[in-house]
Amino acid sequence: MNNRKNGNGIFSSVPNPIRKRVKTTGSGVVSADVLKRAENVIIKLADDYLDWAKSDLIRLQYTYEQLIENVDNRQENLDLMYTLVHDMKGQGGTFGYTLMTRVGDQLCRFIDHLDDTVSISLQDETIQIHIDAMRMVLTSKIRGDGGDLGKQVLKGIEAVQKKIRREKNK
Amino acid sequence: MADYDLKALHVLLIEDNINMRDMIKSVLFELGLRTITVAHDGDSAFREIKTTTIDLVLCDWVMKPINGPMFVKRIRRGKDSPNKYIPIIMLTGHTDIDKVIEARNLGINEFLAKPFTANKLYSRIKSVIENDRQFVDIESYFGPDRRRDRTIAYEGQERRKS
Repeated sequence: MNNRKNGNGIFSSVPNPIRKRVKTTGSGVVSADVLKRAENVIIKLADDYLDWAKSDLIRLQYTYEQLIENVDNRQENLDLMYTLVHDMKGQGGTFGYTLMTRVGDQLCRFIDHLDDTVSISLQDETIQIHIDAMRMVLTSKIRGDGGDLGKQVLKGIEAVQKKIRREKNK
Repeated sequence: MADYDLKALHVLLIEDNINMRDMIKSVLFELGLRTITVAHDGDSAFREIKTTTIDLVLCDWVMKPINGPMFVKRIRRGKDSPNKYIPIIMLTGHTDIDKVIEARNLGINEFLAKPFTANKLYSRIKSVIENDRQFVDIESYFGPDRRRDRTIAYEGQERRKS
């Protein structure tokens, strides 16, 4: 390994550890067919995704109920909700449910930027509206952006976001 | 970019969500990898690296109790790190530019934002294979050089030198 000092830093030329472990010839080289098969693994799992997401949604709704009931553990339950929603949002887009990703992304951002300028009741209402929207995506199997139904789902979220902006600007 | 036979690589996949973990494992298998170790969080992953020779780490961002960023920090800067140069690809649902910058500043090699595709994963692995990036050690950062191609000469004024 070669080290070179430059100002306050040290630049080290580290041998690329994995280049010598891979080959560029032979039958094992990743081809277009191999890549297609690998993409098909994901496509085939799209049906299973609905079942996974439904179980995640049940956990999410349960955590939401805990959030309301246990005032002392509010942050802990918010953190748990964030983890669940973050997973759901990542999976949604992967399996073609981009509206799920969009709703999940908005809920993650909401939880991430929560502060006490928004009342607890409005926080809870906002979270529930997002959960309802996610449920709608799953029960109606809304793939992609969902067309008109998708717009309707997002309209409900936009309405509660307007309410939050008004409360923050008071 | 060439294509590669990845069979000999030993990958450590750190992902707490069982469904995503199984899916990524299956995709890696289709891409030809045969040695895939899984860990559920950063802590068990760290123990794994201490006892096994791992070539490449695929690491999720949001995990409990030790998340992806905490794991990367411990690998890159921890006194007890068994391999601070190990290549790391961060997998995440975060797409905000500030999270991308945060990941880059942690010392990861590549960033893969979900939605996850086999193509994206393969291209990130290829990028790690093909990019010989120097490691930079300064007070505030330890990791691969964040400037992608140091062979391209910068022709403007070198303000930091003045």
